[in-house]
Amino acid sequence: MFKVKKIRGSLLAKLIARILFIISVISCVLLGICFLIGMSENLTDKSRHEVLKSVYENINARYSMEAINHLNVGNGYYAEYLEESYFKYGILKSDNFEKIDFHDRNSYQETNMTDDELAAVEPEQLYLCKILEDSEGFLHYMERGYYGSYTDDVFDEDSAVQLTHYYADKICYDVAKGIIYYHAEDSYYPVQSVSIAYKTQDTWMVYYYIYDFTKKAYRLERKNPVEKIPWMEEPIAESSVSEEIEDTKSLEKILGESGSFVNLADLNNTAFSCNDWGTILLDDIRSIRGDELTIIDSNSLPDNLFIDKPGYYLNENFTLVVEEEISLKSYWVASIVPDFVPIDMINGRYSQQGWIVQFYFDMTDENFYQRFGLSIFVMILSFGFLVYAAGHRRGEEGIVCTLFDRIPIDVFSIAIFIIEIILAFMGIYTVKEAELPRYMLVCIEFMGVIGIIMTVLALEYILSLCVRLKIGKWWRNSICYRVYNWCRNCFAYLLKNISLLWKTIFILGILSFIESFILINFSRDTIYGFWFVEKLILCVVLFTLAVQLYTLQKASQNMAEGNLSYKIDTGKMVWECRKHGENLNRISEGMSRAVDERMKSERLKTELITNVSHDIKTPLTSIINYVDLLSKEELHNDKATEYLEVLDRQSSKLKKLIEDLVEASKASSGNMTVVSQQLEAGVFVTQTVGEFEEKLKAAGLELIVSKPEETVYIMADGRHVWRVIDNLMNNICKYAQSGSRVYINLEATSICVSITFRNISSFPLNISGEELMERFVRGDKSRSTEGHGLGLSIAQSLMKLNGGDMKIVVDGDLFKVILIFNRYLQDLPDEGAVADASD
Amino acid sequence: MYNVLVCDDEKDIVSALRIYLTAEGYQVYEAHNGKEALAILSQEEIHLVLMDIMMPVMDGITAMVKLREQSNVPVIMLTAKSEDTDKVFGLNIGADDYVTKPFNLVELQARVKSQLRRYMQLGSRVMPEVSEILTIGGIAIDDRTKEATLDGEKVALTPTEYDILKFLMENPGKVYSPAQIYAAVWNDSPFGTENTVAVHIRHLREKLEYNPAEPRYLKSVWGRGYKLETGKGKGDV
Repeated sequence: MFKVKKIRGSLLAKLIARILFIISVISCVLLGICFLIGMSENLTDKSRHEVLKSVYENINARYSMEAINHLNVGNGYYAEYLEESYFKYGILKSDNFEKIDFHDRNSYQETNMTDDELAAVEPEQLYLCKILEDSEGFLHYMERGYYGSYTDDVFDEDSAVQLTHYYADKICYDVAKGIIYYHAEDSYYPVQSVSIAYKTQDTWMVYYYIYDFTKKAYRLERKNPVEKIPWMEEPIAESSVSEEIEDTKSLEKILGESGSFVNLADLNNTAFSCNDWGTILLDDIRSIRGDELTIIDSNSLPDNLFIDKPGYYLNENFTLVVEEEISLKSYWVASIVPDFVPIDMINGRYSQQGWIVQFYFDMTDENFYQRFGLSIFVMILSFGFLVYAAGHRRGEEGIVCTLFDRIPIDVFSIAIFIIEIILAFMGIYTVKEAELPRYMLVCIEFMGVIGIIMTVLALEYILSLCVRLKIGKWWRNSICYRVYNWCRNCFAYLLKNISLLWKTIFILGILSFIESFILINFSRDTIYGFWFVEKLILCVVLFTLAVQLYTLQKASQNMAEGNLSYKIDTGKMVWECRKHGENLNRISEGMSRAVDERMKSERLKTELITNVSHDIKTPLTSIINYVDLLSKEELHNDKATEYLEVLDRQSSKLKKLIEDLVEASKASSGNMTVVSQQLEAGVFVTQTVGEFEEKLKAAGLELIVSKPEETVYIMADGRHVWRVIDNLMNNICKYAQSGSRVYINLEATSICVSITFRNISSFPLNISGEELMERFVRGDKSRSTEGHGLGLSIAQSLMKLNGGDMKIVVDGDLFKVILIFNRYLQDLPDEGAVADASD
Repeated sequence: MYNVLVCDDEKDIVSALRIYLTAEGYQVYEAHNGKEALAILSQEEIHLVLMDIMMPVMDGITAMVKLREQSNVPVIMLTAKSEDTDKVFGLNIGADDYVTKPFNLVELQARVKSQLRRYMQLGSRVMPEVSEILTIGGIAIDDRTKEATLDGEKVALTPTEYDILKFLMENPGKVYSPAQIYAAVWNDSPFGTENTVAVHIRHLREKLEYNPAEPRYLKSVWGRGYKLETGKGKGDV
């Protein structure tokens, strides 16, 4: 095995294996043919001499025929040919063998035997062949055998029947004898069977006559009543069946009884003469109307025109087939079967066939089976090696493709197949040609070449297949696969690139086409079966789609509700649903990523602001502290005191701003804990009044409060809400027109609670509520106006954090802020004081 | 004469506090990180510590934990961190009070005073046997004289203010809505008159609190009412 592996890449080894294989195949084939011939011709238990003799006898018969040919064609080629061979023959003049003197040259029409040979002839040794020559000039063997081993009777047959086709140009009716004839080639052939329909009262009666050649008349074979005449497409018009048939009985008598002979001429002058017969049927094949018959009178025509013996019939094409006897020319050829002819492939049949016999016996001697076994062994071994080594090449790893192996497999197969077929036909043709001794050698050589070419081609084909198989995916290298692949890609491309709408139309179209095709072309049962199967498949498909759509719907609903972590399992989905599901997943991924990033950046921003504000606070503490310390010093300077006040005021403002900034960023990013509690909205109003009573009074504002009598609860973080109210009220104190009134209204519906703050601005408000709230965020022109601080922005954020909303309405100088909460309808569990939960 | 330790890495703040507290008559020790503070604490007898949280070498929280292992001297945290969680954390690890920067010196001084009083005096103080005297933190009322004192100093209250304070002091920690307070104090059903309660509460706060914006005792529970904090400090969130 190791060695084999080593040499499998060697080209020399392969070449040797190929040659061995071809030789062994050819030897196998030859041995096989010999064996088969031996079996079929029963040669196995015959001696070489016997076989040779029977072969020579056959050759004698062939030569005999060729001698006749030579006789007919004349001298030249054949004579020359015959002289070269060992064939000694004589064409006999007489077939009376008893009286023939085979030694006499005059007994022969022709002979190539010399006088000495003639003298030496032993009649028992003569091989006789009878050869017939037909009218066309073709030769046939009739019989052959050694003189004395047959009787004369065997050779009696020297005539043959020939069939002649005549066209029956007309059909005649002999009014004298009442017989119908086919007229062809100037002869009248009696129609051998005639069917006539006759109406009696209500039923039709069919009379069936047969022509009798001895009596030369029609005999009624049978008559039978019928409902409808089979050979007539339309019944005879009622009128043509004469009503004036006065005596039906006599007519029926003329038409005859079964087995009786009738003379139809008797009808001539009755009401049922041949013109009234309607359609009649001739020889069960041809139908003709009675009035279409050609009327003749046999008395005025010579008798020899009328055929009076059977041996003709009408065929399907209405042609008259007539059997004619022809005489054949026969020849007798006597020849000598030679005892031995030297074996030689060139000269004549004897030596060639002798060579073949020799060859056969050489092949099928006692070593036949060893030889056969060895051939098969070598064949299998070399073939196995070649298969094993196919595709390997020395110095290269893996399988190497040759140019052959790259040819698409189907093209390759078909080409090889066609070439093999052509070669096989060429071989068969050559075998036929080998009949001629002149070409024998060339033909055998040619057949050998063809055989080798066929074997080589087959071997290379198989080896190429092996290489393809070894490479794997052999089907890929084929035109069929490429076409299939191309179609599939086109289809896939179409499916991928056309819209769902077109896809649906496409599928529906195909489905409808199949449906209509089946509806049109198949029986009811097939349609039922198909309908059932189609509905079943449709059900499965629709059910799958419905399930998947439901999944998608559920997922999209989840996403719409903000559950971005919801994932669709697209593994089990198909077609468009899968694509859709994947898209949804991607959307949710993208959205959650965006949300995460947003949250992160908000948190970072808040942290940044918080940390920066810490760092600002420390120096600010010093500023405030030293301003305070300074203000306690005695400065003795009015201006210094005034400046200190400014410092004090502005540092306080800065402090507030920083606090607001942190608050605002925390509130807007939601980075704030909300401790929701059940709160009384009315208490806020009360507390507002309490906390701001003095401030409002200082600002010259009058506060007017209204609230419902019932206790209204909301759910929120009280400190946050207070922060909102505090901001709003501080703004009011700062910016409301002195001397105006400030309104705080608490209103409640069953769903929501609103607290409205209204005041008259002391400055004209030229910006909208939204801009007021977002001024710190947006940083545009609104900053130039005297600000409300971050208060409104914080207030808005806090309201949102607590599940409420804040609206700002600016209507001229009227400044209105509405805080909206969801109303909380459940009462406090305990009407009395409740411990603060924030404790 | 009390010894106060001021610990902050910002020298200007320390010296401002020193100036201020010295003026108030305290002996001030200075430290600039937790380590120095602990060193001083181990050498001197300190009655109160003002401590920053964010400091180099050793931060205020660590110093606080170490300090609490040996002493229960009152500690007021001074910090720029104003988050609720920061305050809770500081108070939980042992701080007695919590002042966020930037602070008001006057307020800080009041808190210092209050802590010192409680640390130095309250422990040894003999509670009056007479039940008429009610005390919550630094606030005390005498029902016989209808007088109120804050950290031992008399506070002038109107009769209504006194009644409200008394009502709340009788039930410390409980939240009362304005209407409930009105009903209890005026002995009348409130009908749009609760607003007066709120005004009185604010007046009371102004009289009783050092910083009315950040009351220690009289607290507003926004959206629900008012309550009187027991003044222990830890609930000051």
